Order: sequence, then C-alpha cells, then structure tokens
Amino acid sequence: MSRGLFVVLLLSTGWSGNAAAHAGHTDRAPWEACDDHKLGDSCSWENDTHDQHLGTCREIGGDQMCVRNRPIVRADAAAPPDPLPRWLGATLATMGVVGIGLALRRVA
Amino acid sequence: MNHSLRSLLLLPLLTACDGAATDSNKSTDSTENNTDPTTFAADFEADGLATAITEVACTLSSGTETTCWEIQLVGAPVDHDVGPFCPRNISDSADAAGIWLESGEVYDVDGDFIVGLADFYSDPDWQLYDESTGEVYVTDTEAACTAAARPDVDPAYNNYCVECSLDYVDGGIVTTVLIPVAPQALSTPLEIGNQGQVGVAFNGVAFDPPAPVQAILGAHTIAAFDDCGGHVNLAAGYHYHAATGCSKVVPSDDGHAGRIGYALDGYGIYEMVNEDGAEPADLDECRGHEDSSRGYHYHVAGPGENSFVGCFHGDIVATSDGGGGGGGGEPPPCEEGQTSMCCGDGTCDGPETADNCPEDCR
Repeated sequence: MSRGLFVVLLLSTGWSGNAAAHAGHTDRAPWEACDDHKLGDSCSWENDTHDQHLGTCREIGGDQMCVRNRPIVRADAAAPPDPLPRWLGATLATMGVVGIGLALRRVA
Repeated sequence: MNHSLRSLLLLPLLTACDGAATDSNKSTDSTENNTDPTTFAADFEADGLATAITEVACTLSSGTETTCWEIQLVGAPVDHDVGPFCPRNISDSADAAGIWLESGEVYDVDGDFIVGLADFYSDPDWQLYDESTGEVYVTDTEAACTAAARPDVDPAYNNYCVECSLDYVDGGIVTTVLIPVAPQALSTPLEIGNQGQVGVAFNGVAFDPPAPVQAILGAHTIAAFDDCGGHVNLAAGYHYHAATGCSKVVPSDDGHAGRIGYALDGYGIYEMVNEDGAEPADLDECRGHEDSSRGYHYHVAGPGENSFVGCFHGDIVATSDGGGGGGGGEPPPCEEGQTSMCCGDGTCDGPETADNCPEDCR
C-alpha cells in the first residue's frame, strides 16, 4: 500500500483524538454497573474522567457491586492521538489522492 | 508526545512490571501458614488488642471444625488520630475536614466541596450549609449522630454532614473477630453479603464492607470519612472503608506490596500496588492471586473504591444466621469447648449486648 493511500484511509476512518465530552458525576456507578447482571458477570464502569474500571459483580450488603479486579484503564492512556491540524490533514489527503492517481497511471 | 505513542512506548515497561514480585522472589511472609501465635500476633499493634490473640475452636460456614485466631480489636486506631470529618464552615480548608469516596475517587470534604455538592451530584436539593453564615450543618451531638448515622436517615437531618464522635462509644467498641488459623480455600468464592467486617487491620480497627449509599445520598447526607478512610457509627464504632495508607504496613522484602491486615478467611490483605507502583493484572474476582512466597493473598482496592476485597476466596466462621461471619453479627450460643464470644459463657464482650446476649449482659 502506498503511503499516500494509507493516509487517505486513516483520514476516512474518522481518526480523531477528540475525547468524549464531560458527562457529569457518575453517581453510584459501581453499583449501577451490575443492574440487570447476574452474580459473577463481568462488569465495567467509568468515573468522571472516563477511566475504565473492569471487574465482576459481587453481592455486598444485599445489592450487587462491580468489584474491580483489573488495573484501571486510564482515559488519558487509552485516548487516541490528538487530531492532525486541518491544513496538514488536507495536505496529506491531497498527497494521497495524487499518489493513488500516480499509482493507477503506473499500473495502466 | 501524543497519548497513543506514549502508551505504546510504556506498554512493554508496564507488562514487565506486572511480573514484579512473582514466584522467583522468595520471602517469608506467607499468610497461609501462620500457625504460631507469637508470629501471627507480632504483626498486630499490642495496644490495638483488647486481649492477647488466642487460638480457639471454631466452625466454618461449610461446617468444617477447625481452630481460629480470636482477635479482640479495641475499635480505635493506635497509630493515628481520629478525624476530622466534616468541615464547620464553607471557608474551611481540607486540613479541617476529611474525605468523601465516590465512584473510585477520593475528594477532600472542604468548604468548596460542600458548596459544590449540588453540582457534584447534579441535584439542586443539596444544601449542607447556611447561605447567610457559611456554617455547615453537622451532626455534632450524640442524638443527632444516632438519628443520622443510619441507612434510614431521620428526615430532620436531611442535608447534614454526618459525623459521630468516638466519645459516644467510650473511645471504641471492642470487636471480636475469628479468622481461621489455616485458611480453607473454597471451590466457589463466598460473597461478602451482610458481613459486618471483611477483615482486620493491625492497629485495632476493622475493615468494613462498602455500604450501598443510595439511601444516605437520597437524604442529602454524607457520612464523611477522616483522611484515613474511617468513620464512627454507634453500632460498629470506628471502622475503615478505605485503605489510605494510615494503618500499619508489614513490608515485604521482595518488592511486593506490604501487608496491611487479614481478611476474615485468614488470607493476608496487601496494599494495592507493588513497590514499583504497578497493580497486579491477574487478580481474581475477590481481588486475590497466588505466588510462591505468600500463597494466596489479596490486594486491597483503591481508596476511592470504598472497598477492600471483592469476596472471600476461603471459608469464614459461621454465624448464627447460617452465613459466614467474623464476630460482627449476633454471637452464637456457646458450644462445647467454646469459651468466648458466645451467649452463655458468663462474659459480656465483643458484639455481645443486652439485646443479643441477655444472659451475659444484664
């Protein structure tokens, strides 16, 4: 695959570093994560900053709570890269299109 | 450096860290074979025990007859102060107040936090302070504590910061905990359910399970913790809901996390992360795993998670209601050979009260 085509594909698949907007406080998140779950089911929940907590539903105090048993997946560690500046994206896209055109001409 | 690139560069390092303190590192702090009472008791602060730790007969929830350590906690920390809990004015800084745990995070209950509660919980009915004076509504009498520090909060104490003084329980409630001398692994883990405690720290305080906070928050109250993750109620006295690093830690000599106490099933509870700062990635549903140095053991949850372990890998002592227990529930009738923490031995101690053991506590 040519480098230009690779860039075009990246841009067309919505590669963006925009994090989700702040969603407010996640009240009772570890408990609500196990609503409609069976004991022992896998579960997950996010805190305010979208750090992911992965675990299983356990019975505690007559309710079920998602007990984390995996290291916290930090949102800032999992976030995709910052978006390319618009002018650079457009330039690379153009280069990709040109590259594809040149490649097609060579094949032809 | 962008986030993805940084993650990729760190990944091999983090993967390598996961293997820290594993089988190749030998130490002698196994908690599975602490059968010598002197060795076992040595980890506990002597002043945190109401009586010396003794070995007694006990019956586990599966019916197994075995022996247990009987640990009588004084119910107050001997290695740190208790409180403060609630701020008195919205101008108070974090130094004058404790913490609140919510959805994995630890928050200082300072004046700004009190003012911001309506936004914090997206509920305009939160109003824990007098707008004209800035005074925070605090349960500062025993009567107020009694009415507010319970799941069904007295409506008169809606919109209060709830705290109780250790003085209301005469400086601490002695709690008797029985944990198996030799932990008995179960094929299916035991749920925490309605256990009063999940384990013991080394400083005279019990680790309590998380309480669903819906009713408490529904009454617009917060039962603030001190910076050490503990607070007081009239039933349990001072107890922990989070491990924030205040209580005694028995260090490991191989880079593994230090031991902070024992769970009711007799397995050790260790700090969340090893010395390299990494949390083990292979914890089971109870937050435990095994290595050749320590055998099976737990790693405590983060301080903001309002919990310690997720369930019990091993069997725990049966209580009179048929479930497991560690001495926090109602004491059982005395059985042959049982000398304490039971109704009918002529001694009123631990969880025995005039209500549940009238023959011993008249």
